[in-house]
Amino acid sequence: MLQVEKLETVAGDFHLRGVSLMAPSGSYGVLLGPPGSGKSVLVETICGLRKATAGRILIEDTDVTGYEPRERLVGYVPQDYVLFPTKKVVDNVIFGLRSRGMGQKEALRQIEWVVDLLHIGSLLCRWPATLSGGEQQRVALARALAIKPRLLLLDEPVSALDEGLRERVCRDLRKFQRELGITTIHISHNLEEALAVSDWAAILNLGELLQYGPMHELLHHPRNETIAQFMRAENIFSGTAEPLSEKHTVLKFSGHQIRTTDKGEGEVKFMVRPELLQVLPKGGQADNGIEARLTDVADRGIYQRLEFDAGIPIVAIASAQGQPKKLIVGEKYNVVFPPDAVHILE
Amino acid sequence: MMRTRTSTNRRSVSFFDTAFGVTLGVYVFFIAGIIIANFLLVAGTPLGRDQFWESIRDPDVLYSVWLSVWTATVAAIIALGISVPSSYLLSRYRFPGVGFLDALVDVPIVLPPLLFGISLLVLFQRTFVGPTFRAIGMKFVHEPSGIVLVQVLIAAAYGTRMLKGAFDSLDPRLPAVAQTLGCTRARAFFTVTLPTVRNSIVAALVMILARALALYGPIIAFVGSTSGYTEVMPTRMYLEMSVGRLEAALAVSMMMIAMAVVVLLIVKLAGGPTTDQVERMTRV
Repeated sequence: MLQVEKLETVAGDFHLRGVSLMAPSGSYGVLLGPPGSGKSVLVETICGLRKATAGRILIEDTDVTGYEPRERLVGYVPQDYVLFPTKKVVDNVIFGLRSRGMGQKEALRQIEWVVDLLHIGSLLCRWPATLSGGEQQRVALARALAIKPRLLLLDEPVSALDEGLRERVCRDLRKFQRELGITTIHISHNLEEALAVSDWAAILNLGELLQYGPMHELLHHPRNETIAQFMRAENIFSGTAEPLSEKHTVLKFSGHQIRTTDKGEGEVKFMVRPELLQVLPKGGQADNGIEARLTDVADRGIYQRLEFDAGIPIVAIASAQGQPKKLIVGEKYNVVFPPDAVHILE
Repeated sequence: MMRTRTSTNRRSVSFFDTAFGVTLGVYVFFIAGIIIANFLLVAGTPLGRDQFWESIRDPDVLYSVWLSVWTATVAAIIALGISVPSSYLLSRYRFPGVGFLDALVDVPIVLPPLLFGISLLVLFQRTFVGPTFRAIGMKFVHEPSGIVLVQVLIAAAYGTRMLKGAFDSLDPRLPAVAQTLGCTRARAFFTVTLPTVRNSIVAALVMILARALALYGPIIAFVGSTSGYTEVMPTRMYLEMSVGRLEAALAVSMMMIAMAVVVLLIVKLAGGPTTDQVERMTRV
């Protein structure tokens, strides 16, 4: 388990401010954020490569804030892998064990499991410069895992790979992580990558942690508009909120009115994820719906992206299997907002 | 005609390639010309040949050769030992005054060599420095050890400048990753950082040796030129020239050129193949 409490550090002119999060044991978390948000600085501070100016870092309940990097037993795979160019693959993989005093023969024996796990047996006698991106990634991972770390930190592990390879490698990473049960944190600026692998996610921006929690929570209940936009929430509306009952709040916007189970009052912004909207024929029984004209249908293979005009733009997602009948551009439909899917932003 | 070799194909010569080739050719012409002209004057004339054989049998010349070799070797080792940590520190650390230190290291490079020698003499003769060293039994002025000192102080500046460039371009994450794997900072430096800049260290050593061998102005100023004691090869050559014995000077210069080539070959071979060469040898 990793626990970070009000961590602060300085990297040149950049300040990481008061970051607190907790990664449960054996979980796979993703640090999200735009470039320059502080993700790498946070990870480097957890590794011990940067000194924390305030706060604490606990790994499996041990306060490692003052520990040297070698004492923290953290496996770190930096962006671009950073294999040691003057050492062959086998020497890269056993480097950590040899640095900790293990003999050559014993170290070679100790890495057999990770060589088999990551299928790098055929690469051992090669030089890093001769490896492909995917091969370098596996060797870098093997090097980090060989020391049997308590925590694994992956800095943009797939950013250097071709787009076609990224998803497969992400799935492989998740598979290895599940087999080994190591608490893992993966840095990414790509939401699709995060969706493919994570149990939980944390969003950073300008050195601050904006929100963290289960991925579902960030997707459906982002705390504010910045987070919602990062999580690709397309339907963000402005309106007024009035409590209706103990369980419901009425949201009025652009001449429309819907209910939500969220609480709020006054001028608000709110969102609903496109995939949670329901599209029904006009005139049907549609509780909490808005009549809107279909303006565009974009077929994306496994789903369709539907754009509506109701005086305001609305985007919905329809799965290829979910539609009872063909949608006609120009026709009016009822776009239903399930009350528990509408989320008021802070 | 010069062809451009790429890793995947050959392409025809362009004006760009030709212009660069001509530039290199002109430069190499003068360098090769110097060596060939020296060789022709020494080997191609009876006087030259006589002077050459006389020089290599002259005990004072042989002593200056030996003095040049051992002082330059010792100086190169010490200068490299200074250059590596100095350049690493100037490259990796940020503290108040680092810019000033960086500029100060260049002083032996920009200062006229003779002036450097005179200034060093002033430091030892007119300040507490000389008496302090003498008190602990170390003499430099007018001593062979002074030759080593001059060579170290000047050659280390060249080595530091070269190696700083190498450390500047080194990925700082290399030693950082090594530390996360279990290294101390010192072990990461010696097992990861230094091997990665090995080629630059070899190049710096060549530069340091070459500078040390070639110095004579500051050496004359600081230790003088006593035949059979503090007279190095460049000094010997200069003195032969000054009394009109050109052929004798060139004979000594041919020995220096031969020595320099041997030293360069040894250092290059000892450095091992470059990373590119390793990659080509092992590419699957």
